Amino acid sequence: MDITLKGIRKRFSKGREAIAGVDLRFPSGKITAIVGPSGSGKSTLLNLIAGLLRPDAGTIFFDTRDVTMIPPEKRDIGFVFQSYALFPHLNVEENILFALHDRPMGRAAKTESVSAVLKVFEIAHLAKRRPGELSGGERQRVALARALAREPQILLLDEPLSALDAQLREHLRRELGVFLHSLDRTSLYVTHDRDEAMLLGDELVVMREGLVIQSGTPAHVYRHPVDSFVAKFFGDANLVPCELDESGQRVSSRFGTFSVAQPLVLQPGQSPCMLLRPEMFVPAGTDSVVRLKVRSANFLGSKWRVEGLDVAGWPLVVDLPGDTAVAEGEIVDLRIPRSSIHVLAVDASQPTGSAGEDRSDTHLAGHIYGKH
Amino acid sequence: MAWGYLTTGIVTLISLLPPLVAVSHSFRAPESEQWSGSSYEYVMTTYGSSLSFSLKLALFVVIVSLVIAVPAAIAFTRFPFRFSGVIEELIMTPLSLPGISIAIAVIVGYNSMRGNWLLLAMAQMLYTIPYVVRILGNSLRLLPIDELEEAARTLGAGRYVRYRRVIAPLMIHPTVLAALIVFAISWGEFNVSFLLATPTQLTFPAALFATYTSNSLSVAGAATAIFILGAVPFFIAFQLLERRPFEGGQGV
Repeated sequence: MDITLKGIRKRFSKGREAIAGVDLRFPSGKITAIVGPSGSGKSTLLNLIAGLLRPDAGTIFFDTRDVTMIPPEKRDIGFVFQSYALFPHLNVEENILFALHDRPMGRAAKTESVSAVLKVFEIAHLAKRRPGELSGGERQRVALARALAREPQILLLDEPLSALDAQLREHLRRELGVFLHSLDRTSLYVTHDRDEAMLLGDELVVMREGLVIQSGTPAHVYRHPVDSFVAKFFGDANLVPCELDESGQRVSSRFGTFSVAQPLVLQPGQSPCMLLRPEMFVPAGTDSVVRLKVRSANFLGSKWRVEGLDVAGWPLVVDLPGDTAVAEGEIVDLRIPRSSIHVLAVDASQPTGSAGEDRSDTHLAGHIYGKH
Repeated sequence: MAWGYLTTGIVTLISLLPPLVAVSHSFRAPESEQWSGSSYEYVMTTYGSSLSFSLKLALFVVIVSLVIAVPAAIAFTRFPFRFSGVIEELIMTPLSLPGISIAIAVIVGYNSMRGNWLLLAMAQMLYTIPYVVRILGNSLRLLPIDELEEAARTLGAGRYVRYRRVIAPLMIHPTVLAALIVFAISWGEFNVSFLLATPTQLTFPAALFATYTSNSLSVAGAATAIFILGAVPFFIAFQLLERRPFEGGQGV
């Protein structure tokens, strides 16, 4: 089932718009990760789609059906809450049975259906336990089982892993990914974690300040971010000032001349920057274009994460193969074996530099570079 | 661990010693050293009506307090309005006043009702209603009822199903706890009961006072024992309920 949003706006009693005009289509059967920093409006958008909030303006369609004014209980959705919202007075079996309360089935059929769900989610042994007696991972599983017991056409998940510790989150993230992909159902997954979004989402929707900044596949968003915010959100990024030729097809910088991967139109007050991800650099010999003086080198197993300054004093962060010999204070020769480079527009007043500068939200993974 | 047992033992002894001493006298015949249950017989014969009156009064106060305070607590927590917080604090005022002040205020304010048992119930409810509002209000604020209701909505539950199967069951526990506390307050209340007492409307705590001032120590001890026995079911129920809100905790 497709979900289409047209001109959605939502403002709470005071302050700025939580959703400031969103037009989107979530394709049927795909998992879309809605990602953004705290306060970007991603949970509000999910609540609007669920019907738990009503938009001030705009229309929401499930396929061709206008559901804007339809209450959540009649939208045929499954919703997994951040805190799971399991009913504390009911045991696991009863929580799941609750989901079938309005289904035209006999008691025996409902019980049978619950048993099947318990089996699928491997929680049959927890059937008689109350939520207070479950671990975080078990609660997450029960919440998902309850949401899916109704076999909804649309599954909405609001940061379902954020309440868990890092180790469990890592484990369940993979498990959840496999499960969601096996469902073949339209799923929207809200998260502030870029790794979670990239791992789980067939599609990404990046939000900031109530607006959709960019959408596309994880690979596309990672390789071709629309601005420095998205570039830094989805990984470490060296943003290097460059000059765009008149055709807009080629850029030149201190690291050489490259063709532009995607045409760029600059607005007044904007200047171009090349996006150089750390993994785009490779060790070089005589064909070196970058001479990097290493300020710090951290061994991460399969790779080295190296921070340094080029000869012009420009800060860079690069990844080198794990078997490279590298040490602080050394000069490393590098090249960029790419013919085309992604170039993005930045406000002329905005400082560029290497990965992760100017991040306001500490949730955004990555290192802070260039602030030594 | 030993010091823990020792200190709790001392505290328990200090708390229980006075009533135990009083109760130990209850099995002696008045004016003699003989063991006897005659004091109990005397108390039941003389003050049985007070026992019955106190029980009926406490049950009445429980019911009316809940009928008034439960909707108020729901209104304060789920549908707050302008100044509702101030009003909620204002109705707590009687809890900070000495019982004698409440009793005199009630006598002065409702003198025409003097002699009517409803006046006694009203005076007790000045204490009990704020208690229920506070206990229920705190419980409701601790439970994520809004989110649970939203979860129920996404599971297809309309308003009636949400109230019947989610909100009402969650309120049963704090309501029963509040009822037990109201019962205990009414059962043990002395100041107001004593000042408003008439020969036909003598509560058991007021009767207990009478036994200490006009009867032998064995009769007073027997009355004390009966009073404690009346409170024992409350303590057991309270302990059971307080320990296990929802088996295993709130769990949300």
